[in-house]
Amino acid sequence: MKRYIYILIAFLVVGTSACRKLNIPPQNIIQNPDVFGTPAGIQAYMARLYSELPIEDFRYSPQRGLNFFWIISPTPATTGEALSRDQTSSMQENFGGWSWDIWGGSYTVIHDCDYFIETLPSYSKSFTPAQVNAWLGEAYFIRGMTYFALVKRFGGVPIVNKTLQYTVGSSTEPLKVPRSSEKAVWDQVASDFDFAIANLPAVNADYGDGSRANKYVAAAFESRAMLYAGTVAKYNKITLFDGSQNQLCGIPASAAAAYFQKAYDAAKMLDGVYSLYLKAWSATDKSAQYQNFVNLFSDATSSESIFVREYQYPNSVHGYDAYNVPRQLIGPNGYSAEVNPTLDFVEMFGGIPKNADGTLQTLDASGHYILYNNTVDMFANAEPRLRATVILPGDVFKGQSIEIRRAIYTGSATGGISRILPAGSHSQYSSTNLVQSANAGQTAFTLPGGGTMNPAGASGIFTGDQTCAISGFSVRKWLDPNLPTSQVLENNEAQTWIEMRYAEVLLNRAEAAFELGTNTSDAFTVINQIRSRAGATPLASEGSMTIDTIRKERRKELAFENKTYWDLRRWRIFDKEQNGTIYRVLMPFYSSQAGKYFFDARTDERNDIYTYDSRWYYEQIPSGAISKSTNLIQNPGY
Amino acid sequence: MTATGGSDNTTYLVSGGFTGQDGFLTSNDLYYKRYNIRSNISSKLTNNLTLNLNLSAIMDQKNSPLQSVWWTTRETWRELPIQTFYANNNPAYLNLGLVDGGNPLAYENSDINGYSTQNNKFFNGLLSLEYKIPFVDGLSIKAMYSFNDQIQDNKQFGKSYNLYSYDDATKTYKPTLTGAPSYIQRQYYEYPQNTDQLSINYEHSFKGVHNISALLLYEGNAQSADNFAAYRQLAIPVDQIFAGNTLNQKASQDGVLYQYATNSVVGRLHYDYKGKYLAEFSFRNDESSKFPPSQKSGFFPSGSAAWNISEEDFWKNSSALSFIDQLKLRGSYGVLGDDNTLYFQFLQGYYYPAHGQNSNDPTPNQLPSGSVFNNSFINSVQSTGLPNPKIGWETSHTFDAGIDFDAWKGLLGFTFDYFIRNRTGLFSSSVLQVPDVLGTSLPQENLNGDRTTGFDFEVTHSNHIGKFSYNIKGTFSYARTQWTTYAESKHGNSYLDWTSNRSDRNTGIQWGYGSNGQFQNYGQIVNSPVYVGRGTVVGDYNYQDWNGDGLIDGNDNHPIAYGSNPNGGTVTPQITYGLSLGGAYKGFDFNLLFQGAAKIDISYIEQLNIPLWGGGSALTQFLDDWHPSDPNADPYNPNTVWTPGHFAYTGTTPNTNSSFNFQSAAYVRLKSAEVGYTLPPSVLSHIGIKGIRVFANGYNLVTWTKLKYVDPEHPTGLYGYLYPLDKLFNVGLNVKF
Repeated sequence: MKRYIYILIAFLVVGTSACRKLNIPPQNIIQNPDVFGTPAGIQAYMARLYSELPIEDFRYSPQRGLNFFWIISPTPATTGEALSRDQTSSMQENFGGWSWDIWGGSYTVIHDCDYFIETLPSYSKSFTPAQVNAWLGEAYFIRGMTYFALVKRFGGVPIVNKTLQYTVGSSTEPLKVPRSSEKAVWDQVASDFDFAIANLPAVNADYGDGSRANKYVAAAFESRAMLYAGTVAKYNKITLFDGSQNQLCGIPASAAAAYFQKAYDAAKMLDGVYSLYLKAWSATDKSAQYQNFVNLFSDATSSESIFVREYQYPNSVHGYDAYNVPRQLIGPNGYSAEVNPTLDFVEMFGGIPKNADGTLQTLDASGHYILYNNTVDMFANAEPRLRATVILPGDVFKGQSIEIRRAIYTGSATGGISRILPAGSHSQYSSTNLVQSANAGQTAFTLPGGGTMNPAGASGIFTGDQTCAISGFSVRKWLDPNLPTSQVLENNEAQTWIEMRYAEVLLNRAEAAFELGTNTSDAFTVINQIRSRAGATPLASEGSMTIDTIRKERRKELAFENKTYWDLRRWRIFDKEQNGTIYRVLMPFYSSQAGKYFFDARTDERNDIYTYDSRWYYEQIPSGAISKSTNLIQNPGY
Repeated sequence: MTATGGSDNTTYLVSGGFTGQDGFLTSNDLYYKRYNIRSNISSKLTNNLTLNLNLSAIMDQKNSPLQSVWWTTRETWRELPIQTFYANNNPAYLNLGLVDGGNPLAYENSDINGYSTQNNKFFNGLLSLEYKIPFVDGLSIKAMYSFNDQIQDNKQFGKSYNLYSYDDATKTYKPTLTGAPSYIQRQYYEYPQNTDQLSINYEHSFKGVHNISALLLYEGNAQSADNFAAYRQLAIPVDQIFAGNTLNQKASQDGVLYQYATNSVVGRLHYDYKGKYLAEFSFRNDESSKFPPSQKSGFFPSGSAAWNISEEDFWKNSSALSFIDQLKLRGSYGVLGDDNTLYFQFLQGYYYPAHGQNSNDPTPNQLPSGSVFNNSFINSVQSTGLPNPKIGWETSHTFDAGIDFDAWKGLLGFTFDYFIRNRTGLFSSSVLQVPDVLGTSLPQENLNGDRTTGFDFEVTHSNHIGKFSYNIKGTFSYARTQWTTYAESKHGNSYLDWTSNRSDRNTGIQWGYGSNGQFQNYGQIVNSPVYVGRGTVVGDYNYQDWNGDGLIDGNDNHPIAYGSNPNGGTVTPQITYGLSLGGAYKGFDFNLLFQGAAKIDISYIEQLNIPLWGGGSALTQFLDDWHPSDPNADPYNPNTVWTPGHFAYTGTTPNTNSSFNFQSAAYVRLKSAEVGYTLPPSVLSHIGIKGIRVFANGYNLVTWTKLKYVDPEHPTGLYGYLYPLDKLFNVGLNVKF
């Protein structure tokens, strides 16, 4: 009788003891005291701000936006610097579904900065006042950079300098902040940078290598931002006003001078602190000048690098080499040659034979092609900076001669070879007298003198497969000459991106001085410093300098650094340069009869037409942003 | 193999099995093996106390080459037909593919590119005690505890190897090192789970007329997951971690890390009167650790009632209705809850290290989870965003009404159900409604709601003709889901609202251009009422100018299909149906099962839509295209004579979102067919064997569908390169001792 009672009690004990505890704590959530109360926590917060900082680095292209890896439609292929298989026209930036939302993402950075600025003071007892001010300075710097990223794209945007309070489920009306005027946002950028300049030390106390901001980093970016504002004030023609007469697009022209002055003063601050990189430079040796310009981009101790973004395998990587190596150095991923500098770009440089109109000279006085023993001979005296920026046909990279050749010309060479196509022709080459290859699987051609040669170069140009040097040139800047081909893979490269270097500060200074008109001799000196380092002949006289001289020097110096896109926009010449434009290319040929090479300068065989829509100077605000905040006014023309 | 047996007090079942299956690679490096064992013991400790102990263990392992099979499939399709597997046809040198640099022969071979093994061990143990309380008839109490564990042990070994390209000019082979550096990676995951249950059960029939059964049950459940991984690069290809280099080694842990518990109380009361009138009421009270303490509890009741008309006296006594064996009307209504939300939506703080939420995951090649300062990588903290202290259970309310009907002793049977399910409080964030300037991410809230309505029915027939007996069963089901509430905002004009918003709208709708056929001749192009580009030729796709404005652009998008695409989310066909046929004759038996679906469309993408996609090869179906009869003729010349085909002239592909590109994925499939023969017992009695049955069966034998290259039963996933469905043929033997 008692047995069943024991059994029942046993059941109940078993049952009730197994009640589950539901208060399971999270494994990886921490609170403000852990973050703001310790230096390691502050560094972790800074790591977040700097990782979100919207700069156009190796993970950027107009097609993919910011923070994306698949950069096969690169920025230079939208500006006329280069041609590409996968970017065949101009465009405003695309912030589609997969990429970092420029509007929402920027306001996340601004919120994170505002929150830091509001919260750090209440934890300041753990740190010295100098540390607190320096960190606040960094937060203002990042916020200024983010407003800069927004205003250069969209014009006036909502200014949010205090964190907005919101409870989930309540009304969103208080969050509908309207757009401020464009001038107000530029002034906000200046004010944030000024605070940073006032509060940051000369060398960042946490990391002094250039990956974090210091006083001069903020000044350098202020020179860039104020120059941008000044040129918009001076050259912009598009306007948009809201209901209260705030100018959302456009800045009154009268404000230009003040912006140029601010840009000049900010740039001048770096005088004597940073300098152009000259470690391997020699006044007399062109080869040393070339090597110096190459090393500038990979030397971690360079005195010219002001602000950089570092990468590291495996935590933060990019694929620059994988996408951009010459075809014959293709890595196992199957991409290559996405950036192919145009002939228009190469012709800006000195040291190459030119016609009277500035175009490359490929024909002699009698109208026949000039013959060369090797393709690289045409460029024997090329400006060292050109050689360091562009791989010229036949030049050496990674121990190999980069063989760029369009076809073997089998026609007669006696008395000289005449033009293959009439001058100005847009037609593709016909196969008459040409032996060409469709792709890298080539069948060798037997030369009349004996011996075999592949019809096209190992790096192009092929008639079918466009992953080759489709313009006759391949990009050199930023490529790592020490990366073995088996490692040329997507998501495997870690070269540091130099976002701001002293050459740009000097160019900002020169342009601002020239636009102000009061200190053109300073501009002249500065331009010649840059030209001298580049191995180019210095400008003859101050009088020969025009704004176009300065602009052209900037385009040569900062080529392929994702800067020209923004320069063409702020000068408002993008739509004039790209109006049904077809860029030009240089096709090398080998004459089997003559046993020598010749070049044909012509328009892009693929006939890619570039037209820049002038609406794009003020980009389209994402429609999602407007549907959430209906008081935002869309930019004109969309 | 199974053995059962026992005595009066204890019975047992012990079974063990082995399954092995090869994959479809010619290298035979893709294969699967599974071993399982089970032991169930049921023992009466006393007259009223029964103990059950069920133990089972399974181990399976999938071996495959390192390169995933779907990628190998994709690359095989993409390789150019003019290329050979070996450079210069020399088998000592694998060719470097011109497209994507891959070689499928290398990919499918574990000896060349390495291997990947996934090993799972499952353990299930269940212990239960049931006690029939002696002084109350029909009352019993049961306690159960079960423990399940899954341990996953993965190993990946990547080998580097050379692919070669042949230079005809110098007659040399140039090597390209692929797959470097060689590496070894081990991953370990564990998913332990345990459940305990205490229940009281009462069943009694009062006066043989009032039948009552009641159940009160309490259950607690806890699940967790943990993992870690180790990776090292190899200088010499020995496939163990200890042989790897410490440079670039990684010890890591991924997001499969959680802990979760629930408590539930369940009750049920069932009453029926003489089997004629039936009613049941049940409830659940669930508590989940995913919600804040104030919200963690959800109460979910259900009820049902049924009327077995055929048990009524007037029915049983009526001769006219006697042919109907059963007619039952039933209805039910129930509420259930779901806690399938992300964890900790009610907390606020920082994730450390940073990780993404939904689509904004930091990955090393996009927005990273930290920054590199002076060559050291510093992990970021990332704000968790706003909290939602009110997050709670999703609820679903389901209503069902049905009829069961059987007549003529099996000659006709019929079941019909109609159902509506309303779900509310579905988890979503209000990111489409809150202005971006807020700058923080939003938590999940119980915002959305949907409604699924549908019906299904089943018809059965069984009979025998002499010694031949057979049965037929057909099933049919139709269901459609719509969003009732969807967290979104107005776009500022009603046209954009109509194209983009989802509230009060069916799910799975695909938008695109309609079709007006293809241009049959130049007259149609020249006289087209709609603007067509200068490059249009005969055979090109003539899109429908749906809004009549003379231009084909985004404003002509309208709903054109219901379905998805091979890289999209899963969409359920609106109609599914099946037919099963079976029969037996003198020891022979057979069974056929057909299944099918209808009212679902799939859009083709990548190589299925574009020939020579990305510089690769083309499916031969694209050879059937419109083209000039004389291959040297100028396609833009209006006088050119064209040969008709199915696709437009190569170079023009239909817009992915257009009626030209959507294909109905309706299908009928002979899912299985089996024939068997059981030897007559007289033959076997001498041998001491109780029964032998031989059988042959096949699965997925025939499929009728218009959908090409994609399995209509599983059309979404991996861009259309999913492992294809196998046709399986088996022969077998069942022996009972």
